[in-house]
Amino acid sequence: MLPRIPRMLWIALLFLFAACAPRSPGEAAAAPAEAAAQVRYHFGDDMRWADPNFDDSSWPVAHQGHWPVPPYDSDGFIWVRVRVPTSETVAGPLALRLRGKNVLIADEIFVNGVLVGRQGSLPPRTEMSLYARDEIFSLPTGLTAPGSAAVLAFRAWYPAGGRSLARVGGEVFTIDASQMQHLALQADHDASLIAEGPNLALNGIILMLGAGLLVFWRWAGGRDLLVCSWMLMATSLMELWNISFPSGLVSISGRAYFLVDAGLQALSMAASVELVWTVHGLRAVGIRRLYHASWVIGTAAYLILMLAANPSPIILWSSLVMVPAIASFDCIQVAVNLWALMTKRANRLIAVAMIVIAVSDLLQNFGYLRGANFGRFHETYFGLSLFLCEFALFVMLGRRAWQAWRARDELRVEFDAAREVQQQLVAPAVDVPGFKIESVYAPAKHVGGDFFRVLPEADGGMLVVVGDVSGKGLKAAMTVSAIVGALRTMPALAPSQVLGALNRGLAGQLQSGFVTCCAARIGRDGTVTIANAGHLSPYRNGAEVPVASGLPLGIDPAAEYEANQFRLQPAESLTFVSDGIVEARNAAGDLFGFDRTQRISMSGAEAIAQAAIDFGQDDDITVLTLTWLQESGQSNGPIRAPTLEPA
Amino acid sequence: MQNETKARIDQITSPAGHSVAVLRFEGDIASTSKEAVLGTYQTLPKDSSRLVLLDFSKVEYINSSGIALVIQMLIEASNSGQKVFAFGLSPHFTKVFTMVGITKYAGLFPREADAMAAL
Repeated sequence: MLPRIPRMLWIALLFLFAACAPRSPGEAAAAPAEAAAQVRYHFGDDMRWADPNFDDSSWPVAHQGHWPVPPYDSDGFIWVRVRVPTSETVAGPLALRLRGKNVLIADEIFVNGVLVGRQGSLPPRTEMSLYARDEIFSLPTGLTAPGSAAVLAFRAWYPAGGRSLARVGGEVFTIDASQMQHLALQADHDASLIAEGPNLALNGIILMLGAGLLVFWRWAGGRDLLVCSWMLMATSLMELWNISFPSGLVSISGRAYFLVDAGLQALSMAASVELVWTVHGLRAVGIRRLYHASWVIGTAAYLILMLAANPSPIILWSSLVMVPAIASFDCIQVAVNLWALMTKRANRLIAVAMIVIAVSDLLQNFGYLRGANFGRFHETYFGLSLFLCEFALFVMLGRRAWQAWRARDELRVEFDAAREVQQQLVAPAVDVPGFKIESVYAPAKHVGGDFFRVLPEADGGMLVVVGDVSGKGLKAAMTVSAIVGALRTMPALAPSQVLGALNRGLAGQLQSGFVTCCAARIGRDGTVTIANAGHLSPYRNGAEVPVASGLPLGIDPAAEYEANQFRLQPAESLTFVSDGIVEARNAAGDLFGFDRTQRISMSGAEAIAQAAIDFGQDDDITVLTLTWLQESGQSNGPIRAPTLEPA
Repeated sequence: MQNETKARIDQITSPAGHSVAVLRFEGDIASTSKEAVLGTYQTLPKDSSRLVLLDFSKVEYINSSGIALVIQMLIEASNSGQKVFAFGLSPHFTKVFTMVGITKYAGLFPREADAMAAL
């Protein structure tokens, strides 16, 4: 997950040497002198060293052209002087080409005492030039002549985070015809891009797969899809960023580069943690925190080392903790996935992929896995294993999510069908001459636990049964179906007998649940006989009907239900509701309550139900309103049987 | 969003000198509260806990599945010969408890002191 760790590792380890054994220019001067035309260097800063006539013969010679970077506790400056020959045959304007080798640097280049170019910005307003990019500087006419050797003075400053004992300095300077320099630079640049071609292509594919998973997640849901998409996109973007910036595809300041780089690195590592925990369903909070802490510490230390300009204790601490933190991140990833490999059969392939990613990252970080050239192309083993494993993760999680989505879709179709059937069975529209009846049945889920029946009778009256099974969803709906079936086949009985019969049938069958139920027989003359088993009393013209309430059905098989009787006046109405009305809850947790219900109980069924739904539906809602128009001669007319159409 | 049900047992002595087990509930009572309601009640020793007081003063919401649990607990207490009183219910849930016939198994009181006085 951290493709640049070798560089970081070197910096961190070398810091330890730098902090323990700081050197002085004098010590460096003890190095054996080499040929006169060789590269000479000196720590410190003195503008007189730009003078072509300055005698640098006492300066140490850089071994094989590589000079050490300044000691950690120095001012960070180093001057390098070298005589650069110009061919006798060169023609046209001349240019200096600098091929950089350093990680972080700001510099100025003098040719024969004249400033010809700079990279980054030197103290006090420092800005690092990342990788000391391969760059060409035009030389003023007459500054150096073909066949001569120009004195080049290179004034470089290394930030505290980039100083070490290593001979990492070693820019290569050449003076040639400007046109030739530009052609050579373009050719090298193209070759570099071609070499990175496979890496660009593989990471581009992973980025697209990650985006595809994100689109699929928006459609199908599932946290594992979201986290996997996040990991694929963050990792591929980090890899693309690491390729594009050094290759010159993107040009920004060193600080901006490292901030973006550390941000992508943090996103990628955090995604790895979340993916492992989500896919394996782990609960080990302590290990998860350690896992997160390792990437937070490692990334923070990396950022400090890359951005710090001046020496401070925090740099030393960062250099000490960075490598162990990053290594422990990979080790935890390996350990957790090994455990999953042994205990989570369905996740074995995912665990293997995550282990391979972590192990290849560890090996690369410690220099055991570099890469190989395939003709003009170059590919790291880490990049290859990352691609293969991330592709495998995409396939496995995508396939799993697709199957889950298909199963959910089939279930949704089944529930839609069940809802339709239940609407027809449980809450049919009814029409009884002499009465105006309205009803609303609104389950909280696909299917509900409320029910009502209006059973017209031969004498022009009707039996009304309204009830509610405790609980919601499929379990309650199955009980409702049984009750409705019993009511359909039940002979004409008094309300208290109806409740008694249902109670005996349900007792012992509800697994600690119950059914509240209110049964009322309403004669064609407006006489109402009503019995109640724990259900809400109906409202008569806006007032609660005082009804003796018995135990809900299904609790005590011996329970008995008392009946009450009263007579409706013409145009008077009865309103039956389920507890979904009185116990509708708003976002603040307030209940709709009995008072509000009573105040709107004279409204139509639709209005009552809508008021509760708008307040905050929390349970199945049933409202049945019945208005006795009057006893008339037309009462002997035909009675329309209940239909099986939706309410 | 449902609040988790919490339950604890206090042992107190009534003004008449009887030992009383008080089950204090907190949060919402729903189908997921089985362990908190029935599980807590069932830890009471049946022989020594003849008087049981149910404290609902910190209960915010009880749905129909929660009421079913309370009824189940009260039936169990009735079968064990325990005497149960409840207090702290809001007017809404006092009405609901009355409606579903819980008053056949337990006396309902507004405050703890009223319930203790009735013991």
